[in-house]
Amino acid sequence: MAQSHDQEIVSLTVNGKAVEVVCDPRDTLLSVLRERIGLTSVREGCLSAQCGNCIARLDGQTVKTCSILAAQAQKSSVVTIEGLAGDNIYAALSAGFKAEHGLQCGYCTPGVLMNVHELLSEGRVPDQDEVRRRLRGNLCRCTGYENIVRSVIHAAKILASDALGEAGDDVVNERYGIGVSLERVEDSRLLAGQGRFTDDSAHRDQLHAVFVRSSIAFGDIEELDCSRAMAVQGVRAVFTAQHLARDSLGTPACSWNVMDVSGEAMRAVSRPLLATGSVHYVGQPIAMVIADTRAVAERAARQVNVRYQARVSNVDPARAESCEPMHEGLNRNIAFHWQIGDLASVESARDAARHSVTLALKNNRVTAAPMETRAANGQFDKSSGRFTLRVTTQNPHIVRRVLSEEVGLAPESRIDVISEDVGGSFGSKIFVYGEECLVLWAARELGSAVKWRATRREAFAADVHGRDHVTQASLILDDEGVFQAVEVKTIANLGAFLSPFGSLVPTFNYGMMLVGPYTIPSFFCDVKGVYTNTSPVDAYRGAGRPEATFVLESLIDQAAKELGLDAAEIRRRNLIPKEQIPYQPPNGLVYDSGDFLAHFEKALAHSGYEGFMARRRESEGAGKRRGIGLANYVEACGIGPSAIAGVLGAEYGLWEAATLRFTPTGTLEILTGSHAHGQGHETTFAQIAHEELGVAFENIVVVHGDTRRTPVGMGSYGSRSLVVGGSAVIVAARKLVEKGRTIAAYMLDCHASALNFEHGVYRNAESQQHVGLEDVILAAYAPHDYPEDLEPGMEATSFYDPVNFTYPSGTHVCEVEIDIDTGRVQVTSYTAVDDFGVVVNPAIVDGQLHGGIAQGIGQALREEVRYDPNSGELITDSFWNYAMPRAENLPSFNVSRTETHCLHNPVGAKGCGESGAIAAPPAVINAIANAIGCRVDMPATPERVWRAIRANEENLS
Amino acid sequence: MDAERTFAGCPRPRYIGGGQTILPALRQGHLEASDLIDLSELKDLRGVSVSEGTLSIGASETHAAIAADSTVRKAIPSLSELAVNIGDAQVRNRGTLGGAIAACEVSSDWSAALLGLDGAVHAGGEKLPIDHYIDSKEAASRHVIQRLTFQIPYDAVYLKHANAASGHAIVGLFAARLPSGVRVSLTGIGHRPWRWQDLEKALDRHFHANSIDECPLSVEGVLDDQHASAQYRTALIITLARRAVERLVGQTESH
Repeated sequence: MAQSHDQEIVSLTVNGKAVEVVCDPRDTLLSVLRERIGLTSVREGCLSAQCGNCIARLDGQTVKTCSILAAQAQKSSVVTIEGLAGDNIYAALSAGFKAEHGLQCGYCTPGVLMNVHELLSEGRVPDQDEVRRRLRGNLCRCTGYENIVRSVIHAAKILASDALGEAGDDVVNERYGIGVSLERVEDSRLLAGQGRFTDDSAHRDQLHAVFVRSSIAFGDIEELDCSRAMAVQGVRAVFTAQHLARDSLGTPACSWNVMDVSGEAMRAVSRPLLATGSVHYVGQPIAMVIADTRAVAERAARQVNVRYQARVSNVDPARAESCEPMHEGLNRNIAFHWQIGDLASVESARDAARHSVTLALKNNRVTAAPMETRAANGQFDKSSGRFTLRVTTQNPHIVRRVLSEEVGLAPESRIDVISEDVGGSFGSKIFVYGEECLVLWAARELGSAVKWRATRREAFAADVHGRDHVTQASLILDDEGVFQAVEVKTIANLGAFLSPFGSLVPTFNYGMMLVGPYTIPSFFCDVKGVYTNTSPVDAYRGAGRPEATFVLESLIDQAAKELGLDAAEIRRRNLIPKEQIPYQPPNGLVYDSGDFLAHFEKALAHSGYEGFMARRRESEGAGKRRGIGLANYVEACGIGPSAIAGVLGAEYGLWEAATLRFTPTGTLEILTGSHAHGQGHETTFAQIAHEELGVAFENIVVVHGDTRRTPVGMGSYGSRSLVVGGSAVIVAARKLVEKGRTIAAYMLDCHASALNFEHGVYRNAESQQHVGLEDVILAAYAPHDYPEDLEPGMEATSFYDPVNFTYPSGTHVCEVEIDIDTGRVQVTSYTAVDDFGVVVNPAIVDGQLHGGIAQGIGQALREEVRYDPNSGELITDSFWNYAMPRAENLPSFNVSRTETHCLHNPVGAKGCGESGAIAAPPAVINAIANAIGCRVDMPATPERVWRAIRANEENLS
Repeated sequence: MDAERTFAGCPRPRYIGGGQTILPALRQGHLEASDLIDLSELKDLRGVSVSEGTLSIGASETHAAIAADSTVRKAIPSLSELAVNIGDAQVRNRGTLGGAIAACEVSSDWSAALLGLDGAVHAGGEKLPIDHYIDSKEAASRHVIQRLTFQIPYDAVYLKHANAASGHAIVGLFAARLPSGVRVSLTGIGHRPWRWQDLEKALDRHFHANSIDECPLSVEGVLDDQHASAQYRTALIITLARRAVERLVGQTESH
């Protein structure tokens, strides 16, 4: 019964086949299924039985395979998603998830399916609450669970009605163009567990890297002894900063230069690939251990001996300025002191106006926590001198450029970067981190492929974090509650080093958004970006705009309270009226479109704002408090015009590229420089091309995430994919239509101007002669009888650079019920009405909103990255202590839209990816304040709310 | 017993049941072990039975099996309810009662139930009240837990204020009316489950929520950690006690 540490043979029946695996007795069932047997649908998300990405069926019951030893499964039968082909419950689930858009990135999906498969095998149609309770064992960061719940119920109904016959077949749509909630092209492979995520790649000569990280917040490395680790059998190398110095490798730097008020450049300190001499936060990489297996590398990494001389650390942004400078060459821990707006006009408004409402606010530090942790697999082909990096990124071309230009690995043309399926990002995978650079460099050093995958603990410690502001803000109003000015002073925590967009997020992305959708004539914002002994802070869904919206919408509620106005009425008096659009707020932007009062009034109606008092009385009757909270927002996204970005300090342009390539047989490849990690571009980009060109939808293939195939592109962030990348698709499509028109005119022997192009046919309106696009394409590739001055072929590229940002806007209404005795907040309803302009695929847009709202509610109520204030140790290092939103903590979201078209991009669309995360935190916190009569810091945990209720009662008595 | 002989021959051994506590703990470096001795195949650690006012549950029974067991539901429905709220479906499918008691985490739901139902741990041929088991844990951990026994109460209830991240009890309160009198036990508030004997006595005199007012609770000694302050935990204890008593009174009235 005792297990020796020798290898042992485990016999399993896996998906019906007998398998024998030689394994280490310490191996988990997860690692054996995934790494030995190659079942990549079974995924690692936390290794602590929390996330459910590794769920499989063991002897008839679902289990978390990360928390079972392979040896414990001896002689057992295991079933994974790969084994469910032909199963009727799986078929119903698959149909349900496609129909209800129940998945986005698809990383958590197999685990979710395995779990709910067991539920549906009970043969009932569960209600929403039961499904939500059942999903306690699964974390999903993309969907906000809303559509997962609907998908499960949908599947149960299919099973109950025995309507499965059709479910396996492809759905036939009447239309495939813009405005249709098409089932996603991506879903079949993701539902089958056949996504191609970075860690799924494995090469014959695969080695594995593990990083040794700083265990202290701040100190000097006195000794770094790798000899014991080197001696571990199976270890190939241990690299430290010394080795990198030999190759004079550079490090990814901040790519957004903001000016200090002093007129000097910002004081950027970039993170070295591996710590050189000192460490500045818990989790900073110090050494890289490479071994034949990940398990050996992990054991060896524990043998690396680091002796530190600890220094006094600081994790608190408010204290940073008064602490000893933590970087050599800096006399203060301030990277930049930045200002925007007109202080003089704010001060004169203050002198003239009657009311000034002031709040001290904190915006809590959170982490993106995508279900797929960061991973990289580097290869070097000695014969050709080419590098290939498979990596979890939102922008493969930027990775390539950084690897070449900043790290100095090789000329850009000798580096290929591939990121096929990426399991959620939310900003955290924009940046080029040291680990992926090192994996690629090490592949050359060792002549073998080198792979690394972050553990969840590493993800908590070493991914960039978001938010973390300390703010003093005031709103100046007249007697009627009309806003006169906003003044904001913020200390923004940048972490220990300046991350690539670390300077942009708390400056322009934040300061410019502080006037919101209101007629506020003056504003002023002062930001100090400070260094602390924490992981670098950078973009997280919304990136500066949630922080700004939180400040403004908190101030407005406080003002309503102090002036005795209703929270809706004060907003109604100040929203920019439709007649004033396009509107130029004092931040220098131009809101090109929008009807803020339209979504505002609609949201009030949908949320039952009028009837709230009756619901409040009902709650009070049950001994509870009830509150309703509003938040309006408008944001500048779809970044962005390169010229403006350049003025604001960007080193890069922010256009997007698309190549549309017709093949001779008339099928279409869309090669986009944009990137999808759950947003469904394979579907939506094909929809807009279908709308433009009339090509059969099933003949369109979208390619992204591969620098070998796509044009140079800027990737996805800032809600830019559709509005910039999709616009490039349209512009390229229109180039093809024009070229085709010339060919068609030649074929029909008429003037090109006489031809209309509709539904894939060129037609002479007068003569009614016509030729189909397919024939035109054929002619372009067989140009035997062809216009003289025209090149053959049907391929066009567009580099689309927008002339303005897009300005989505919306109104969100949150209702909460609070248990006075425990402080527990239940979000009882959540209503959102947003204006995203033209919507290409409504189901996908709703899904983006759901996910953002869930993250926003998470930030408001549950999530916070915490460091020990004294030691600087990371307290929240797993899902056991970082409270992610789960299905049972969230209500069903009521989302709908109004529509004013963006006037300057050819889609007419506005970015939608970040809105939920922008609007939800203030809506939730305003609802709590409405319920209990005082404001609570985020996250409004039960204890914080409980304390606030008591403190407020003491104040009142 | 073979398992115990094997245990004695290893330098730093641990028993493993479902592994739902021990494997994540080993993985995160919170625990170390030289050898893991798997108990899940042992048939005599299974089974549920009732005899002479006592419910006996085999240590290898999973939370899911206990939640679904009709004997348990009939004898002590509050235990079924407790079991169905542990972790999630997969953890319940795998995690065992014996494993939960052996791990005896600060916030163990089962240890509150065991203490609240005047229960006992049967290990190494001995029957130890949970208090004694915890006191002698070093020595007791050599022995395989075979089964757990619970006094069958007239009625009982378990209420938990769960941690938002882990789902573990920040405070869990088990209240039972046993033939021997009222018992109120708490979990999550210290390094071991704890009986609120003042309240038990007050409730024995008068089973009413107002009796809680007679039993001042000191914050001293109540756990104060990253998850909750002692002051908040103390307030939760009182709230849960009131709700538990009200629930039991309500159940009586409705019968």
